[in-house]
Amino acid sequence: MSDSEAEFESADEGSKNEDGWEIESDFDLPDVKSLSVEYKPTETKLSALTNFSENVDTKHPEINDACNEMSMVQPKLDKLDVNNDNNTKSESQVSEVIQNEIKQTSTQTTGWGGWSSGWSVNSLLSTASLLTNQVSQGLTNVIGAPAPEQLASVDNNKEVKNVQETKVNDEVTEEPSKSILDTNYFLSNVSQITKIVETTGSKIISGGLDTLETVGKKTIEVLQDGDPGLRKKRAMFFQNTEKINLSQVLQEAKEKSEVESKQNNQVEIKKGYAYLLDSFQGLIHLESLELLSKQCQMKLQTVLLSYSGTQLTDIQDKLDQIKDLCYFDFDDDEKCMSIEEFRNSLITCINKISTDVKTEKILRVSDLIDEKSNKEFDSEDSIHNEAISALAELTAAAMELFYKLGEMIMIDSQNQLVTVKAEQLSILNESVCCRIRFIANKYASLLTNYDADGTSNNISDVYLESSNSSSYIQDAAQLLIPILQLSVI
Amino acid sequence: MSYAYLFKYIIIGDTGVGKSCLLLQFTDKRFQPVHDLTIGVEFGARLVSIETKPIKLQIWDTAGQEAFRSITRSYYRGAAGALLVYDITRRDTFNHLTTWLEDARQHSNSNMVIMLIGNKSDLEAKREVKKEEGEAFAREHGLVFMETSAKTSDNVEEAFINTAKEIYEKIQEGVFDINNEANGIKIGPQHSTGNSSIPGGNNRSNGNGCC
Repeated sequence: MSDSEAEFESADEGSKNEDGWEIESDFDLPDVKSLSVEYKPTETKLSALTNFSENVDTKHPEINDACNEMSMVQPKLDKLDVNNDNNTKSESQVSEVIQNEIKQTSTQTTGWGGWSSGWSVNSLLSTASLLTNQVSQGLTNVIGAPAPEQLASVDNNKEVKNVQETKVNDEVTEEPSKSILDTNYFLSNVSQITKIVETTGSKIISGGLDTLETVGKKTIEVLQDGDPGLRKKRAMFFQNTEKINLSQVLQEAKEKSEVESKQNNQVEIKKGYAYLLDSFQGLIHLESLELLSKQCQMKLQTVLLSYSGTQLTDIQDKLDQIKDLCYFDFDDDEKCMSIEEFRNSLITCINKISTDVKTEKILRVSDLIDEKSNKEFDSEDSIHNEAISALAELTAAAMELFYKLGEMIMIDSQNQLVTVKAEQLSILNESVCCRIRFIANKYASLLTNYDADGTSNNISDVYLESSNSSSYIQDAAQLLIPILQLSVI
Repeated sequence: MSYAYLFKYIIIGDTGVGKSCLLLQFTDKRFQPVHDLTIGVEFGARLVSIETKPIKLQIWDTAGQEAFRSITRSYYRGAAGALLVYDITRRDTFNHLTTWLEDARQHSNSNMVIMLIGNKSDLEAKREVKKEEGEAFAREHGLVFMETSAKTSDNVEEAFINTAKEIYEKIQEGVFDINNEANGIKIGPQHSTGNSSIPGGNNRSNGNGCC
């Protein structure tokens, strides 16, 4: 819940902090080569701009930002000639060029091709503003956002200021514009054009921003329609961000290994860890546990949404407490468990969590593994295979145990014992992991007798699968947390 | 070990009708008179052969207890076949069939093959539900019907295999979309890449095209 909220909020902030240029220039430039052939004036101006970006006055962050945006485009245009000397250029001009550039390029990308290099800046602009009008008209029709001009005229003060700025800059503007537009035949009209560009540009941009804002507001309205506070959507969002199902990953790994062994034309399919885990029904129990856990997680979300204020914080504290109790850090621990220790620990734990869950199966598996590990082995490979099989079988039995515990916790009505259950669960988790480690150590020492110089991978393979087993067991234990949490509410 | 298809089955019905015993008889060929109450769901798997094709049956044996109902419903999804079991010596288990059927139809896909099973046919002396009643119920609701005994293993094999046959026929007819795992059917790993022997719309045309 809190995670998803944080994500939502940070996303909101992000969009607020943007200054508009981000949105305007957020298009993909088409293929640079085709651009360079068809749009000569654009190239010249853009290269001028990128050159200038290094010298621009830092007093105007907006323009700086824009220049940064454009300099990001620079690598794509590195084939262009950069031969203009623009050190004297004014800021208004830069903004003109940027606006011009943005409009032109965005128009190109939206498929309004066929603009010849002979077109004047004026007609370019009018078409661009026409396009903007059409777009915003479309927006008005669809979602009821006012036209940019309308919005822009509301913002009169801003506009007047812009015009004044243009006037002030007129004198400076004229000289350097020659260098930018020296291939153009509209030199005499440059200052006039600049003015038009400035006012129209600011209109379009501020209008565009307002339109975007309205679009955003409308979108939130539509999203919240019949779903106040976006609760359902947040809950859904939370579900989706959950990690990929472990059982699915395992299933894929198993299938992959099956296909691989098939390709190797082996007569006997090599029984890998994932394959064995599945055949001992570890995978399917893990899958069911995931299903159960997900259901509880969803119910938990729904229940939490009905609380607020101190009640909510109280409940969240309780839930956190359960979560903390379930946690244990296996890496800090080098403890191993022999068969007897394991038996005692397991029975104590299970009896405190749910007496209906039977421990016979996992204990039988544990005994059988012990028996098998004490017999005589005739080869290194047979020890290795036995070790992998033992780890997979015990892990599978643990999956089944955890799943059954999950089912029982879910239907159990003795809620006051949840903290005890959580504690026992942590101990149970530790016990199984210790037993896994014990088995791995035992087989590793058996392997050492065959492989004293450590040239084969068998030992590291056994330890690898034992750490895999531990992670599956810990993941399964994690899946029980929402089930425990739900039972406390 | 390798299979052409995997079918997911569910076994449903009131508590104590012998669902777990049926599964045990089918997978292990043994009978266990005293059985622990099933918690949630138990799993079983067996390889059978339908028209010389190896087919893996993955069976989800659900808990019959009311307490587990809300959970077990979620296991119905993605099942290709269902065994709906009642106890011929207990009238009430037969009376509850309608509820079970509604539940199953509501929470599973519409093409799921449902087999109605009247279990404990060895206890003829205690019979409360006539065979004709079971047949009539099955006819009325479009189910396949069979009386079984998990104890003597009478008809147990047939119940599971006939359901598989029915599903297999539906695949041949193209009723099941085998590429959609929500139907409870998976293609075996060795058949997953453009094998022309796989029936079903898309694959068939592809197979013929490339060979």
